[in-house]
Amino acid sequence: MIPKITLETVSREDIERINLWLEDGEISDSWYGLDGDGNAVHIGYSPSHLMSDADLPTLEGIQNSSRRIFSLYSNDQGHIGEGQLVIEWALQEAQLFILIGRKDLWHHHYGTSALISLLDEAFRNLQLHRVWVDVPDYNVHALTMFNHIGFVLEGHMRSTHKKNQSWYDSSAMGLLQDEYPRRRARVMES
Amino acid sequence: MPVITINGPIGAGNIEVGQLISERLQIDYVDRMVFAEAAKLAGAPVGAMIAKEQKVVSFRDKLGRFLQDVLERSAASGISGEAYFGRGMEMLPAETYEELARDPSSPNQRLNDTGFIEATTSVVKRLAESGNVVIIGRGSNMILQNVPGVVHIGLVAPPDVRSATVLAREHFTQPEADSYVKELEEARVTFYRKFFKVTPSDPNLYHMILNMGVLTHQNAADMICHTVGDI
Repeated sequence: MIPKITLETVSREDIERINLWLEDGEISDSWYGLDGDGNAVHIGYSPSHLMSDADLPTLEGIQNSSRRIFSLYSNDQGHIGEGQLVIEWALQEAQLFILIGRKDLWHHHYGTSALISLLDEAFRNLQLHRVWVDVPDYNVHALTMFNHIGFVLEGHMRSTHKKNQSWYDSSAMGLLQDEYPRRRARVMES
Repeated sequence: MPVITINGPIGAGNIEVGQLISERLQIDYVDRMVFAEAAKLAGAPVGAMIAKEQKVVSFRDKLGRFLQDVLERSAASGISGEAYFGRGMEMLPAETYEELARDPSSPNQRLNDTGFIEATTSVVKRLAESGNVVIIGRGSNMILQNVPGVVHIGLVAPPDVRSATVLAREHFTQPEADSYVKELEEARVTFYRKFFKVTPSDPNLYHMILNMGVLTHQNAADMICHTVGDI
């Protein structure tokens, strides 16, 4: 049974949890590693800076029509992670980011369900034409998940991601609006 | 710095063989990313680029199916003379009307086609200049036809093999998969004829053509890597 995940507005408590999750080496290592100062890299904003510096803009100031940030909530587990859609409106497409911070829930379909919720938002509500991801090769779980949902490998490029002073290859994978219903149905059936 | 193009009908194994070659030779693999990059240059959604490759047949078929429905409904309702345009009319996309109404040689259409092929050509040539890449389809073998050192591979496979590949990937029934494979192959032929004035199955366009009905992906990748090494 696939868990139900809803997309919620990000609260300050959610950011605190994101910050805590990213302090776990296993989680930050599967995500984007550490920056030069030893802080876990996050996409779009820095949770640790946002929590510690009152002068920085609030998350409402970081979000806009081209960057949608959602907290991922499960009906049985509460807050489990964060999803983002970085939208290029002129091309009707978005780059998708997803972080499941509750590592005790990894491999229990929470990521898949969260991904479906984000894709529903992108294709059904926002009527985008394409959603794509750029996944470093070291994140095997993410590659498997996107492949399982039906993302198409659009390209595999060498040395595109730098993590902890090393370069890694990555896979660009995409899904089109008209491909999504068939593949969503296949996943839900399986 | 090998540059390889792989072309073949959907489900022939282009993706699988291309990825194996990319892994073995440690080179980039570029598939639909060609259109994703070209879309940025043309300032159009990826779908507009893909439609250039696939739309001719699908629109024609949609129209054919629509007219068939109209005639069947007319017959069923017992109306003689005029066709019955009932429910289903809205299923024919508005752009189909525009397509039908538009003179295909109008400046607007020419500009669209020109923008499409210029953007695609630019991306494919840039990839080839960078080297170390295997490019899947998108007319790459024609765009790079006269570029020295580029190896062009053609794949063929019987319809049942192609349908099986598509069936594993999509939520299709067997007849839907058969129809999808057939439609996309017709579209590919139309795309090559329209933009490059050739038939994609012409063996003169390739260094080597492999029958994926009798070869495994591994076999094919072995043979291609060996050939690339020799050339």
